[in-house]
Amino acid sequence: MVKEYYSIKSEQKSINISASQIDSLRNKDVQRGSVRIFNNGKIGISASASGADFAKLEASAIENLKLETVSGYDLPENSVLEREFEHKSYDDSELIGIADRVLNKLRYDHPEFVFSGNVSFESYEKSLKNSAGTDLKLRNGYLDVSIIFKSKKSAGIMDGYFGNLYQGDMDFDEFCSVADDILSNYDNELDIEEGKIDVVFQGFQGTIMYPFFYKHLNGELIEKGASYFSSGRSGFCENFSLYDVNDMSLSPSPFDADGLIRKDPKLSVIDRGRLVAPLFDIRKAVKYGKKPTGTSVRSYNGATHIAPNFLMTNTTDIKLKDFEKALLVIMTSGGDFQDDGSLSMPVQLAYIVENGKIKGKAPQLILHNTIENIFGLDYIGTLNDRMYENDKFGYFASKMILKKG
Amino acid sequence: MNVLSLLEKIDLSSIGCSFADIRIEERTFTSITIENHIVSNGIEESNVSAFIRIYSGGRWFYTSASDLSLIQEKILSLAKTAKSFKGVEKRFFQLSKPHKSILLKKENKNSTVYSIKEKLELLKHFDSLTANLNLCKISQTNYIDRYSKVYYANSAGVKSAYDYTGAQIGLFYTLSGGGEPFADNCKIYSSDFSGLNSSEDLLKSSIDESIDFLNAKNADPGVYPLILSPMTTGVFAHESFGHKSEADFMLGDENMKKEWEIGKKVGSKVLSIIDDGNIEDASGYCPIDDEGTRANKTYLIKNGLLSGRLHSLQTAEELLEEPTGNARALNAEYEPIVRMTNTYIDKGDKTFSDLVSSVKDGFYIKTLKHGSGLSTFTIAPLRSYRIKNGKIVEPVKINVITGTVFETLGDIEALSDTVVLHSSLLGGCGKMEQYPLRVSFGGPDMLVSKMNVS
Repeated sequence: MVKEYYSIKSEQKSINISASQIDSLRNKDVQRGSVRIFNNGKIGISASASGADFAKLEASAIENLKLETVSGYDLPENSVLEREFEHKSYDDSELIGIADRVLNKLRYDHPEFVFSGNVSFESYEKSLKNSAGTDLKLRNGYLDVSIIFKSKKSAGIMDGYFGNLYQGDMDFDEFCSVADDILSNYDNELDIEEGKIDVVFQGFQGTIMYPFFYKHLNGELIEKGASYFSSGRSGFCENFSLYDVNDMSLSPSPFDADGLIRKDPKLSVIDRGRLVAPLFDIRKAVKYGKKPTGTSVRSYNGATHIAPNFLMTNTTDIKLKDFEKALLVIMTSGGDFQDDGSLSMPVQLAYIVENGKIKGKAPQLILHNTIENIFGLDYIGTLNDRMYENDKFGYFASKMILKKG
Repeated sequence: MNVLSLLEKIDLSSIGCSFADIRIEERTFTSITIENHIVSNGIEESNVSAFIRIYSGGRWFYTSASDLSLIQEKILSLAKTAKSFKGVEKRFFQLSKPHKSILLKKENKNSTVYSIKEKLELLKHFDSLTANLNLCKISQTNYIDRYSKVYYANSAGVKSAYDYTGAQIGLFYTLSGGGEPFADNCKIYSSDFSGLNSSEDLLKSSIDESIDFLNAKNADPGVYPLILSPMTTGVFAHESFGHKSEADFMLGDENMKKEWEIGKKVGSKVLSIIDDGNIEDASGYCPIDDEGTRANKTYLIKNGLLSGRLHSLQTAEELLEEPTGNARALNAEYEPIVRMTNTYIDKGDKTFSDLVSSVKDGFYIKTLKHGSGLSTFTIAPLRSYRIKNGKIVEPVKINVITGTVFETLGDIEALSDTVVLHSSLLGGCGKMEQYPLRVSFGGPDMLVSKMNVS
């Protein structure tokens, strides 16, 4: 019998902004915990969202072995790591100070908008131990400044957003400079021709292509013939490589949900256009006779399932200023892929950028393409610059077909 | 611990702040998952937590607690912080009328009276529907249920409690015949576990329909008349108009208040949209909101005219309207904000056949993956069918349908004569960080004269 104890404690402070004013201050301490018992190929689990009384949870998890939940694998033994990502902590008055400063600037410089959103700080400690010698701890924290804006001329509920995460000090001037670019050009709507165009996103991680890979790189889906990659298809260009990264401070964790620490924090998943490492958690790796890739997550009370840590593409030497004309996408919502890889993506807010400078706002439009082309003949890649200096990854670009909405 | 007795003992009126409230939620749920016909997770969990709000000097102060014995101490500590803040106050709390309402109706009739073993047996039975289907490559069957009791008290003299119970089974599967895979799902909800027993035919017919989509072609993009099923109609109403009716979006925006004047024509005269937290068997059941206000049946649109909005105490005061009982929080770790409950388009007088036979060249959107509503709304269909010369002819795949909200509301031509509400515990409504909130949505089948199909 192997026993596993998991807890996550987080301290959250949040300043909520509504109608361009500070509305509230919220403080909460949250603790979640679970115990899993692995015994004779079965798992019993018990969990709580209000504290981690391990003695109580253990008794309940042993009782739950009767449900005959199948494990089919062993937990990692003697996997030991303690990692703290350096971060600045904030108290209530500092957060209020940031919110006040941001709002004063936005209200003064852009009175034609209404602002909402929040300024929050979260620090957390995650602990995963088992009776086979595994002892893992992760501590991290970050400041989140997220602003939603709405034009006073608009009848919609929101017209766009901007924001950033910080582990060190917030770069206030840069934050306001980005805000200024977006807001100053909002009313300057330009026409744009339909057809193929260079499209730039703030980062690959925020694009709709990310959940496509999240789903279709799943090793079990590939084995079972249910993935885009099942037929051996890749068809991506040689310039495109995709990595799974698990030890950067804004990625989930340097150890997976079972406690596996992967030797290489940067795993090559797609190498020069070819799929080389479908993703497996330990459970599915054992089932299909594959090597686990350290890509599993679980909620505090759920089973593990396959999920990438943090996918990133290769970086090019290209910068935003190298595009004679491009579409910079700020907000896109509601689009989706078919399982054959064809995509339609409504874009609610985008700007026309020439040689790195925003010239004006694009009309509402829809972008189309296929996954094969986005990472094939139309692929550009992750650029060598970024919206915010502290972004871990740069802009992501690909050509797409634009149709006016 | 008897929470009602605890609430009687808590003193909120003498802490020296303008307004204070406390909400305590006891929540029990069961979750079971079967992946590819092997049980991969099974858990029963009970949690209790409290959320405290204090309003002082024009600002809100919040904290939460999972140890109920510390509540009075937390209230006093939060009050001390709150009182140090001096600003201009609003008087919304005067809209909170004292009452004592205890609506605990499900204590002996909720999902906790059934054992986890019974639930597992039922789930295994439904899971077996895909076990012998060669085309089914991946399957996941989920069971989830919940029983919650929400207790509330405020310094204006409100004391209330209500309970909610619901259970759901979801069947998620990916089919492939060697060509492109097709991922689909079917979910069954009941306010009572025993109500799930008779759902086998519905699940079987869903799987049969999915098989037809393995060879479905992509629809030609263009502008077409569309018939939306009750599920799709519900998502349309929720995303395109429901969120716009949440009055907190209008705060601080004088232009928005003028744009959304009550009585303004906003849609076709056949259109009425309703939000009602009192529908007991639906997943948006919330007879008393998280500020202690009794839920209204609120007409958002009546016969094409803007008729109402969804309010909290604060938004009602600002807009000089009455509270509607729509201040809801995801759980007792969050503050209430203005949210929907059960939102639906009211019925018309046509049959489904009437609608289909009136379409020369269009589509029927039966199920969907998701929807969203900003300045334009979007719906990502799952199962769609071509309609040609008044007949449903073949399954097709559509990436997304879009439209401008107000144009589309005006393009609604006809509604069928039966409303179906879709309830769910697997997923829910998202707003800011609070996702997934249990709601329901629905309507009749709805014919819209034109929408963009991509």
